[in-house]
Amino acid sequence: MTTQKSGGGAGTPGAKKISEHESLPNVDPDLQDTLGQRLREVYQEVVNEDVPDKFLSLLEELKKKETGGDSNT
Amino acid sequence: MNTPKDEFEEMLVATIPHLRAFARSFANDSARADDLVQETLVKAWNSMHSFERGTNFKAWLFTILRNAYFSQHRKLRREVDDPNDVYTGSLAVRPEQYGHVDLLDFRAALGELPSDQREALLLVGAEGFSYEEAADICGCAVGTIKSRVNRARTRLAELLEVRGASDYGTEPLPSGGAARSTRNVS
Repeated sequence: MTTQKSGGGAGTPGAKKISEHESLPNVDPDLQDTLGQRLREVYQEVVNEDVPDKFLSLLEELKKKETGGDSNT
Repeated sequence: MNTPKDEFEEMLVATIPHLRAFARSFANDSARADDLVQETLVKAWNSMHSFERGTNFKAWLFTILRNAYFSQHRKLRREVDDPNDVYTGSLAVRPEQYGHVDLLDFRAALGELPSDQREALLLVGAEGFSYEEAADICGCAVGTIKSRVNRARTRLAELLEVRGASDYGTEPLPSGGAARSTRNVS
């Protein structure tokens, strides 16, 4: 089972561009756009990381517990 | 055949990367963030029946993660605050592509924001939730989220304008884009 997330961040394409927000007084619109872009980059880097196997193992365990008849954990 | 439980699991797996990114804004290292995500997965699995199909699954999970964090940390809150570590752990330094606002500077500035503002900004600006969804996740009014997002944006700009000016000179951005060389332009 692959743990690689290659779909490319389902949530992020919907992220608002800074220019879609109200413009801010005293802030250069170009800087606003750059900041929005940076924000998405920084966040997306984490989203794009490979998901460690421990998460999938955890889900397997949760499923096993249930099928093992002990659903009260 | 795909049972509702299989579907639930699939959605859960697909959301893990987003949970990890969101958790990283609370926990000050990636191991702790991952612990938080694991706790979220267990809680979500055990409350599978309370998820209403057709509603926003990711928002539901983010709410669980957030509640898990705050129930753990209410007592210890702000005991250890290492905001400069936010998002730094795993991020490689890359060659400048856009210039002007260096990624390291950006991450440091993000880490300096008050946590409620950072959270609102990440939910809306990075994760793409609507103001309404973000308000639901944080359990506050839509107006509160809007104001946090705007204060966060203004503060980031202030922090980075100052840094940009000291690091790279004070030349205005070229017209037509924010891209600017980080080389010495003076």
